[in-house]
Amino acid sequence: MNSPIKPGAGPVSVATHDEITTKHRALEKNVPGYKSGDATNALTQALRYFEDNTRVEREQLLLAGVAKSKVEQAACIWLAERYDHLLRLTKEVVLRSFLAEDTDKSPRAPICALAILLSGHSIKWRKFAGSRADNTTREWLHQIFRTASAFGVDAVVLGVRIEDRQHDATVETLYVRALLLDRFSSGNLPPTRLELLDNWLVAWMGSLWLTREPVPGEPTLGVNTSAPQRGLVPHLVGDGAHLFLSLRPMQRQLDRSIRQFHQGSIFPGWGIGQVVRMEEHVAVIDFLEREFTLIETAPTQRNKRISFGTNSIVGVFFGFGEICRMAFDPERLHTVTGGGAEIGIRNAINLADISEDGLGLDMTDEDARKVNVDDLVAVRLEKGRACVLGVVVRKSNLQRPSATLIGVKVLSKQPIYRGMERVDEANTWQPAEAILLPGEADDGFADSIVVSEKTYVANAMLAVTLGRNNYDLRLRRVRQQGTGWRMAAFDAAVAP
Amino acid sequence: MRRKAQTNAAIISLIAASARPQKEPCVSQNIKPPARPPSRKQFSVFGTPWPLDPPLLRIRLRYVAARFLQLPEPRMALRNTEEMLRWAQQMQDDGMPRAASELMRLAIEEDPTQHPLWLFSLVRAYEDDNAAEFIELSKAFAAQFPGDESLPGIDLMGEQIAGGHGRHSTAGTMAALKLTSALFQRNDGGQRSMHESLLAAIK
Repeated sequence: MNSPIKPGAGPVSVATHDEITTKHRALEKNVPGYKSGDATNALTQALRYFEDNTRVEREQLLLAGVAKSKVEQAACIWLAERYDHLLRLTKEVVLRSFLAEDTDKSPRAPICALAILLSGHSIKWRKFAGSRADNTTREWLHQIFRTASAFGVDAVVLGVRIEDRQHDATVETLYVRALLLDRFSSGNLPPTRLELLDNWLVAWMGSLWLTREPVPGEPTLGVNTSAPQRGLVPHLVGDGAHLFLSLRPMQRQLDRSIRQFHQGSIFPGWGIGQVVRMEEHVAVIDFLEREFTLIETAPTQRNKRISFGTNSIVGVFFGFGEICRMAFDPERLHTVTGGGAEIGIRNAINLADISEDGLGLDMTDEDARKVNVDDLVAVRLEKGRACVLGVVVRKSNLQRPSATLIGVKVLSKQPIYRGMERVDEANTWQPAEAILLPGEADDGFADSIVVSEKTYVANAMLAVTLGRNNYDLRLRRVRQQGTGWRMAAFDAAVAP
Repeated sequence: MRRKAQTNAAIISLIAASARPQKEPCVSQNIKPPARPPSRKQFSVFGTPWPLDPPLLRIRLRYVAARFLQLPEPRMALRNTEEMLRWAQQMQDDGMPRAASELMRLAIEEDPTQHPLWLFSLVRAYEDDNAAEFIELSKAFAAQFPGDESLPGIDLMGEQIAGGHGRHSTAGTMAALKLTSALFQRNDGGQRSMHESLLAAIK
């Protein structure tokens, strides 16, 4: 998309939705009669016509963000349907082009490339439209790629038009782009960021090569083209993957892209990135770095997973004040009675699911309305066990009526509450409450402290006693925060 | 074997040289108010194009401010060696090593005289076994600080990393830890003691 809504960016008169749909229907009737070469040309032209006539509209819809009007939502659904329709027609031609009676072999690579390109577009626009992902997409992608590989056309370099720019690509690089889009679109990236990410993937296509062996010692994504339900996933030994995408080239591409920003240019220099705020680019960088970390740590995370009983009642405490006051109270240790009285939430809350670093709370809609993203919560999973401290990261509707799933990211499974004293510049000591969270690093520099919003002042000093030692803690960078609380790094020194 | 021992000895001497008490502690060299005129060079110290045009520079600064939210005035903040080191180390502690390395690079580009930032970046690249980054940094470091006493050690670290012996070297890792502690003036003993007390409190 190289037209940040400027005069002359698109055709002077833009075709209406009806005109485009009519053209596509006519194409559907005609394509079966075409030879595969002619069909490939016709479909390529149809995609070009469609994209040229909807460029400005698509850009406006992407910039509208997640809060769309009904008209905008309908437009997104129509666009997703058009891509799906073109994809369906293209798939039929792919099958025909590989049949023995088709003597013209030249369109094989272009039609495979077009089908895979359209699969990527379809994945993306289904996500934008809020439609359910097509379960058959991965299977089709794998099948087309397997066929292209078998006939030796997977590495043919083609000039592929993506939006209004020509790019060098192969069936393989387009396949990887589609699989990565499939992986990334299943997360919570809003439309603008997913589109930005797609532009980056297109710009990086030259380095997105699959290998037949994983690179030893490097984090790698693997794909099993015979497994229809699996896309690109972090590779673990024995998972059946037989093609691999090393993370390192992607990381290098990300570094290269970041350096473009350092040099004062907006990567990749075309597309929607030219008109969005800088924060959107940064959010994509953050997203990719988190994804890369997840992929790098996947083998160890897998080993650390612990299963807990589900659908059990747990005690939940809400907010920094209530947590300090009640969650660590020894009298409550042997009950699962929660808090929430202050904000009017009933005690009994169902635990929907739990993993190593998160848990889901099944709450009534009425109660869930009083809970907000970034709220601090403490959950007592079992009688006699310390509370788990976490932060609300998402709210989503459950299939049952009047039920909401509250997603909680675990900050620490072993938080420690301590009364402290804050020492201000005039050397006056004031009582303060804090929750200490031991980190995983042995050197202690990953430990954190949670204090109230009022207590947190950068570089403020807190005095605490632990065991026989007195410590002076210097509050440092905020690692996470929400209403009424701050979680910060600290520097500790044994008090003289 | 002998070569490796030589390399390790060289690394330790490099670190010892860097960690040695100095007349002017390295972290306090740059507390000056960073009000220098902007660079007029066409290329950064790494040889990459430097955004001289105001619109390009504005994009760079907007990017830095958005990426590192705690840098409200990027050009000034990037010249504050002590703060930069602290933030980079905290990012490292928070599991964001890539962002930490990027911040160091930006700060070095802004003011290449920040010697401790170079050493931090070199140690990070060495520990990450990132040969390309290490070689680029070491070349630029040599050009920036000709005759610096750290150079022989850096050269040997470069040979080690290029030979594939990078982060797996215990001596190298230990040396890096010493170097970073010396750079940050952090109280390793106090932090570790606090951590142990926390673990004891859990039990």
